[in-house]
Amino acid sequence: MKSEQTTDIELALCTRIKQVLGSSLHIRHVDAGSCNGCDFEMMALCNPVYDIQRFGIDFVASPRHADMLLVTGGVTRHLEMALEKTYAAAAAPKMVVAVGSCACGGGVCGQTYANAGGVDKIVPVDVFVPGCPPRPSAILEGILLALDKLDGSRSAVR
Amino acid sequence: MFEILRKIWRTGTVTRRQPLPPAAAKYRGKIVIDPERCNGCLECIGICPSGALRTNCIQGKEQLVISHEKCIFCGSCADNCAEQAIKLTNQCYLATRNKQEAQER
Repeated sequence: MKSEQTTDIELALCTRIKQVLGSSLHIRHVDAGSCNGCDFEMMALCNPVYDIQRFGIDFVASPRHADMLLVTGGVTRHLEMALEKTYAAAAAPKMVVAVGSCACGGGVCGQTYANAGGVDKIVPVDVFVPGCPPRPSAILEGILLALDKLDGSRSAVR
Repeated sequence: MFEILRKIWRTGTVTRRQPLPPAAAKYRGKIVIDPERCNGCLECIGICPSGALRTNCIQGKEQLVISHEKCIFCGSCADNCAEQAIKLTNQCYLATRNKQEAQER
């Protein structure tokens, strides 16, 4: 039973959030010109199968309430400024997770006039989750990785 | 009331803690290239819709490299590889903290 628990990524996520943040993790989803495939997978995290709200993770309506930005889509020219403003509005320390191949490195859209080709060209990104779209469990793994990053940065600052 | 409690006590926990399951066997996940089988026809590079495949000189030898941050996991490269040097696995946990790692996998 114990060995099963140690391999359990979900339990690890739950304990990690409590350790690092001391309370729940609030996520703001930023759609920076995605095809909505990644967005659907992200919303699947809230369904009864994955149910991330039991870990204290919640999607919030404003970046000012959020600890983490989940960005989907290779940033289009029109949404460049929106992403910058959202990043500025999020409270520090902020984590940015790029979800999907487009957000990681352009994906099928690539780097063109209309497409920045990756979130990391606009704002600093902590974790990349490749996949077209990534499975909800892969996104969960990405969130867990980002929490490790936050822990490191906090101990460095304080 | 007592009956119900007794039943619950006897049955114990029936739900189980589920570790995140591996994806289905047919899931198009991480792409693995076998450099031994690759004959360098580069058909996969021509057919890749997102330009994720490229050649790279590793230890004085031209080798095929895939960057998973561009790949859309369509599987065209594996379908069109005559030597079957490219294979799709069902490994879906690809999250990484540094981009170089995603590029060179």
